[in-house]
Amino acid sequence: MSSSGGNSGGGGIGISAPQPYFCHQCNRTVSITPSPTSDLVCPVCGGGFLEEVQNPNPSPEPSPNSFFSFSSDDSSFGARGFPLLFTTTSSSGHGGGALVDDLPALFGGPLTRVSQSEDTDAFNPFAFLQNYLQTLRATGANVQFVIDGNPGDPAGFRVPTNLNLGDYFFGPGLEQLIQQLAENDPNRYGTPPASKSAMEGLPSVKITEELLASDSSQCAVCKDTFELGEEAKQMPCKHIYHSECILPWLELHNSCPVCRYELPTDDPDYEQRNRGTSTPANQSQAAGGFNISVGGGSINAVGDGSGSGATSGENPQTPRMVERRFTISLPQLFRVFGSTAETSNTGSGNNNGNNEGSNSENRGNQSTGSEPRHEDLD
Amino acid sequence: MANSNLPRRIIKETQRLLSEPAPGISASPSEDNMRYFNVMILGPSQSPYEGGVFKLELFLPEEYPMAPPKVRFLTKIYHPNIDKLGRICLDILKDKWSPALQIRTVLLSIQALLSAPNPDDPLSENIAKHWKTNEAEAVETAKEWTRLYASGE
Repeated sequence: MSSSGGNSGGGGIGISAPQPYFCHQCNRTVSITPSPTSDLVCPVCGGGFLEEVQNPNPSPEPSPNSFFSFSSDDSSFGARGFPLLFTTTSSSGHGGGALVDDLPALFGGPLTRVSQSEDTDAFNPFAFLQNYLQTLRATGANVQFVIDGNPGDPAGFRVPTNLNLGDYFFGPGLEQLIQQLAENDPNRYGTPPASKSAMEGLPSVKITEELLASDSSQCAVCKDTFELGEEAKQMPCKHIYHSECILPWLELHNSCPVCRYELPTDDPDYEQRNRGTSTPANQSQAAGGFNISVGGGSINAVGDGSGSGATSGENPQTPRMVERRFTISLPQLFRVFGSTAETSNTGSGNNNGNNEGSNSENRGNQSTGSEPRHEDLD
Repeated sequence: MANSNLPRRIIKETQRLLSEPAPGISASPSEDNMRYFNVMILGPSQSPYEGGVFKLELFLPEEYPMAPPKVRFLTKIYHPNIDKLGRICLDILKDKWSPALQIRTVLLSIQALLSAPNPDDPLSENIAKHWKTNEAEAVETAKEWTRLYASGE
């Protein structure tokens, strides 16, 4: 406590003691003894635009230990971890999420710190992130931040008022997030998933002797030779794959692995772009939206093909959000919560440095083709 | 252990890489992690990298082959599509990945990139600029770096 604030503390009228206030005029925290008889005045600038400081002792540097005290002591986060979702949509589909509207609100402390810093040349991850998100907004993306609780818990997730999330995202976590944003994540930049109906509509063919004698006797994904009489899936371009080889790929990207022939997608933006221009399959991220979420032990952002996924671009005028999800493992930050939100209470076994185990579980559960990707960025 | 559940495709690929290596390319898995490969690519003839031995690391992520391998140069190299951390700007390692590709094709593509630098899609702005403004000089620098850093000790 900055009890050293030498503001005539000796006067001590009654019970009141010096309290920390933030002066919005001179932009600093001051110590003032509230008086019942007069208005609050900043002792430095004399202004009256003062705000009581809730968390009077923000540490000047994010202390690495705060992670562990946070994760082990604050039981309000529960064993499910603490997924933080920056979402672009109405947050439907995320059970009981609390919306926080902007980055400064989330990262409050660091922003002030950063802006006070004189070292403008140094890479400032927070400013970068803010800038990046601003750019997304400028291109029409609707970026919001959702603190997403346990999906099954309708009560949602409470943000402790004195929690400065910025502290938890400084250091490696934030850097990873930025790297992920800035880097060409293949699962973000490749073509979108094939539509469900297109996948379901792929015909099955029986492997014949004739086919085995041809040069397509091998599944290009698993590199195994087909067996006589076995069933395989055939793409419209006639390329043949085991269904357990091609379907996981089509859930990620709509293209034929061999010739890049593209199946229809459930992504109206993508469909429209492809119809409108003659250039095929120009990726680049959908301007519709953007979505980052932070789970216990990971940051993931969702790539939800579309709202319902039922109709494939039937009504291109309807603005449907395209969410993108990707994941950054933060084992060093969320060691206690290592498991992702999807894993059950027994998930504590999954936190051995990466989330690969839970990742595959996620994939199995996702039917919309929205794949949480867990990327190891080192 | 990372090796306990190695997909058959990875085992197959590894065996073939070891038994029939592509010309000018060697890739061998690390003993303690079969998803991590130590790679060497010889600088292609008639390129500024000729005579150089370039070390790379290649890692097959859990999602492989649904996601591309992660590849990085360990040897310092002067190339417009390779940055100072060794990261490679190559479409098939990013959005143009396909599960029909494999370690061998990736490494052949990297070898081809050494023969055909593409300064119009740079990863290293400065080197790309150098390449575009004075190609002869940039090529000389690339040769010099090859001598300095890729001489195979």
